[in-house]
Amino acid sequence: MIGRYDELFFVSNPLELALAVIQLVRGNWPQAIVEDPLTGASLESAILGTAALPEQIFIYRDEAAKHSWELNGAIPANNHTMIHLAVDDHTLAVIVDDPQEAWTKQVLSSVSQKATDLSMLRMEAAA
Amino acid sequence: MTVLTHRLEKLLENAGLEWGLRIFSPREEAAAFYLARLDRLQKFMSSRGLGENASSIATIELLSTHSPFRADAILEALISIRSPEIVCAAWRIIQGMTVQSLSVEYVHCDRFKLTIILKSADDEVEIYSSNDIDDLPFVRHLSKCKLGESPLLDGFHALRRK
Repeated sequence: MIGRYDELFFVSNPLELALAVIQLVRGNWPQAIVEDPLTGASLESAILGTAALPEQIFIYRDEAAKHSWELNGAIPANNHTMIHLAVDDHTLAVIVDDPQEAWTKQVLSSVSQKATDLSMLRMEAAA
Repeated sequence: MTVLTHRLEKLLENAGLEWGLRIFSPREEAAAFYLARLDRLQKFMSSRGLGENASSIATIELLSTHSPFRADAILEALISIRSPEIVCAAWRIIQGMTVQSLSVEYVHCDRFKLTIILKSADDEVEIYSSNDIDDLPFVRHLSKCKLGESPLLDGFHALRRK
């Protein structure tokens, strides 16, 4: 069920990391639909940088997953078909069904490594 | 100072990149130098059919509003990377292309070659290469992680964030 687990990443620029998560997930979900849950609008322009990323982002595995979520909500059949990102000033929350599910675990680990790597890059540059 | 050099200088200052201006003497020459680099980038992108205005000052200003971290990254690329071809590769990653492969070949006092292959979400492939060792800073801006045990290089990032 979506919303059962929030992985929090405390970073200086959560939107930058959110964009990295979108690209990471799209590597595995090439047909992913990325949208603003408040408006239902596609975020393709925001991904390209011509519009701002919102503070809430849904990444559906594909069009069928989006349709099923809109029709049925958080039913077991929709497990692992949508990732929810929530951003505030210094935090990115990656909200998933089960952080121990194999692929989800890999993604969360990659996001954590990415956040650490970005911090290290900048600490080195600032030193 | 022209309107364009003034706008570029403001972008650099707002991104915390004054050092990129201070390394010139007189300082006023900096923005004109980076503007010339941007002009060469635009010509290169046009020659590749990637849109002449895709890398204009107006585009960077728009990015600085919507995604300041991306504007900072392309401004740092303009400062630290020599060849328009490699700055273009940075720009295409910032626009969402993924790094499909990267190779650096170096032989002491003999040769250097940087080759970057990018892939779009539509599986279109673009190849960028340079023999100029002054393009090596490109590599430093990429972030790394692993997906499972697989290596993943992605994202062209600003190294200095305000």
